[in-house]
Formats: sequence, C-alpha cells, structure tokens
Amino acid sequence: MNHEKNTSEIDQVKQVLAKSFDGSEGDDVPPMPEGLRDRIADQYGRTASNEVVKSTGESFFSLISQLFRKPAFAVGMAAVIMLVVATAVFNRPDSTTGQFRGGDDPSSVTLVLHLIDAPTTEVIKTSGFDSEALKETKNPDELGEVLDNAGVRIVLDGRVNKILGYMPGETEPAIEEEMPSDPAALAAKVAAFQAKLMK
Amino acid sequence: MAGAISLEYFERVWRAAFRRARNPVEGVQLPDAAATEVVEDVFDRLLSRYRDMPGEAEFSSEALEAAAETARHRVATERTAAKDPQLYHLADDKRYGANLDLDRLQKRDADNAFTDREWNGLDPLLRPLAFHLLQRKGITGADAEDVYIETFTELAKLRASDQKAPIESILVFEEAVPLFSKMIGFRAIDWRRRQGALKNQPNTQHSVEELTEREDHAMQFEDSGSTPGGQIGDLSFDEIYRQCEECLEPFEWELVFVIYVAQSATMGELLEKDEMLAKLDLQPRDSTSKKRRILNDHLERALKKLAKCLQN
Repeated sequence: MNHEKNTSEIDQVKQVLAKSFDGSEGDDVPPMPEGLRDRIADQYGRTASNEVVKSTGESFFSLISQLFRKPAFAVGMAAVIMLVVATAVFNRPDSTTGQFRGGDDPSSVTLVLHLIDAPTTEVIKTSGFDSEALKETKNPDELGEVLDNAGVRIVLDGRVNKILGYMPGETEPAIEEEMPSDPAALAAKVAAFQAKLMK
Repeated sequence: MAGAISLEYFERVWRAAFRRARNPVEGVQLPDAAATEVVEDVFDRLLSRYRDMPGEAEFSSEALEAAAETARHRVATERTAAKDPQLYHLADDKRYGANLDLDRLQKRDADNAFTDREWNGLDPLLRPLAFHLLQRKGITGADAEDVYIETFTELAKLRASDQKAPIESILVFEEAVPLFSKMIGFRAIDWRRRQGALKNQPNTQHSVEELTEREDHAMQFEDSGSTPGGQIGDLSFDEIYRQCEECLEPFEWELVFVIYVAQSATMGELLEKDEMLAKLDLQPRDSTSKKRRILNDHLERALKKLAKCLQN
C-alpha cells in the first residue's frame, strides 16, 4: 500500500514537472533574435551551436554511432540525418589551417556521388554541402576527373553499389565495402571511411 | 549540464519564457510584441548577472520567474497609466466578469485601512468561487459562510511580519483569485483543525497566521483539486524551483530538469555522455542495465524529495 502511494505521488510529481515548462516549438512564439543568439554564443563560449556533431574526429565518430543506436528511422528522416552528418564531416574547417577544404588541398575530403539515384542526390545536394566537397558524376570520364583531386575521396558508386575510399594521392581505393541501402547505415559508413582515411 | 551547452537549450528557455510573459497570470495576455520585449529584457539581465552559465535548472527557473514578474509589472504600470483595469484582461476569462480596479483596492486611507468603495465589488466576485472551493472540501452552509467571512476580512488585514495586507501582495487583479483560493484553503484546514476532524493531516499543527505568513508556504493550492494534504496543483517550474531548491542537490536538479521538465534528453541519451557517467560514478564499460539502474536510483530519490516538498 505504501509502495502504491509512493508510486502515485511520484507519477503526480512527474506530471507536474512535465507541465511546468513549455519550451516546445510552435508558431505562437517568435524566434530568438539573432543578436541574442550571438551574445549567448559569445558569452558562454562553449558549443553554443545547434550542430549535431562536435569538431574532433574521435568524438564525432562516437556521436554518429550514438545516432544509429536509436530506433530505426523512416527513410526520409535517415536521409536528413545523413545530410547533417555528412555536411559536418565535409564542411568542417581543417583543424590546422582553419580553412574549408577545396579539391586541390591534400587535406581535403570530397564526397562523390556516382550514378546515385536522383532523389537521394537531390536531398544530399540541398543539404548545405560546400560545393567543393560534393561532386556528382554520371560517367567514367567525370569520375576519373574527380578522382584526380588531391585529397581524400569517398565515392558512393551507384553502378556497383559500393562505397570506396581513396587516400590522398592514390588512384586505387584503400577501402571498399558494399553500400548499405539504409541511409542511416550509409551515413555511419561514410563517417567511418572518413575517420580511417584521415588518419 | 556542464560541458557543451547548445543553443537549442536557450531557444527552449526563450520559448518557455515568452509563453510565461505573454500569459503571466491566468486571465492576462500581453500582445506578442510586448511579450517579446519582456523576454529580451529578461535575457539581457540574466546574461549580465550570470557571467558564467549556471545549471540549466537554475537559469530556466530564473528566466521564467523574471518573465512572469516583469510582465506583471508591465501590465500593472500600463493599467495605472491608462486608468484601464481591463487592459490585457482576457475577455473569455470564465472565473468572473470584469476586473476591479486594483489601484483602488490597494489604496489605504488615513488610518491605513482599505475603505475604497471598490471593495463593494469584491464580495460578489469572490463569494461564488470561495463557496465552490469550500463545498469541494466538504464545508457548506453556515460553516462555509463563517470561513468565507474570516478569509475575506483577512484580505485587508495587515500582517505582523511586514505590515502589509494580502491584497497588497498582488500586482494585477487577476491574481486575486489564486490568492484568495490559497487563503480559503488554509482557512479550511484551520477550521477542520478546530473541529478536531483531521488530527493527522499535514499542517494541522500550524495556525492560519503561520501558514499564510511564512514565505515557504507560498505555494498555491489550486481550486482544481486541493484537499488537506492532497493533490498538487499546476505549477510553473520557477515556482517549483523556488519552493524546493534546497531540497535537491544541484546535480539532482539537472537530472530532473533534463529528463522531466524540459525533456531535452532521454535517460539513454544522458548515459551516452562520458561526463554524465563520471558524475554517476559509472564507467563506459559498465553494462547498460547497471547504468540505467544507477541513473534511475538518482531520479527516484530526487522525485521522492520533490513529492515531499510539494505536498508540504
């Protein structure tokens, strides 16, 4: 009886707590002013950002792993997650120079979409990728041209359904695996390739 | 939580504080533009006050409380300036018709008594609410009349502690309803104590004056359910934090806030953070079941403490 009373009281407290703070998104609330966002970010210094990923490779990879331990997403949501992951992977500033990578930079990383289906390509392209970091190729010549880039290249090859990773300066893939059909798993694979190839 | 603080957290607080500023009290609604100004001002003050980020529970509580208080002050000031007690009053407030003029209710005469004729309008407004509450507590007829009259008189009675009357403790007229509900609740407890009907209920050893004057009894038992020692009403997080801050450790507050208040992370997500594991004296290699059990133990302890605090 005492246990039931305690459980009931605790349930009641949980309900009160849940109703005590409404920070949910909604059209009824104007967005936080940009100036205030900047001030908060400046003052509190730390990762006052909405990015899913952190800036170090190792912690980033563990974050990706955490993402994909969650229950399975719908394809659409998984694709969105892949974009966030991939955008962060490929658009983060180089740790030594502080500059975003370009194709001629040996420390650059390029994601190549070779004969990937149009819907997936479109979603990835509109995700906010740096244009230098994302290439789309439709035939061997175009692919060959992109593979001439200096840095790391990760190719999603829709023709043979494989993901291939190239070290800087190399023309043969250093790693090669079947391309997962699940976009969530694919994003994790891209991240894993990037981590291996950047060592 | 210590470590990376995301803008997402501050955006949640912004939204919660905005909603609190827009409706600081039941029956009051500020326009969106005014509510935005209030919350911008609140954030400005908090960022000036907290050079380093305090815990999320504390920051959130301060933001909500400041939003409500600033909004109430704004309403009060603008009503006085416009000489319009109905300004920002929600027309569909079903508790009563129109606001009375709080400035007149709070005006003292030369003898420090409250004698403005506006008081004539207060009895017909509060009486139905009070009798409804008393009926739910099982007090009816002549007994209910006695309790009501005692409580109504008390509204204008100067307290020994600060020589202020309860009517002077509110900023906007809409607060008169929850204020009176609280006072009726305490009077009802006292009535029962005098009747000898409930010897073992909480608070029955205190006098009404003790109950109503002590700061730590500032919680409002809403008319939607209060029975002696019974249900907890709807409370804003700042009210909960203000009442129970000392009852929980700071770490317990952070857990409670993230899991149950803001609901910004699940237990599983918390347990994936190394800094959280360290605080729980856990290792990354510990089993999932062990991690969950330890976290659950902390949460359950915190919730039990809160339940005890909120029932008092």
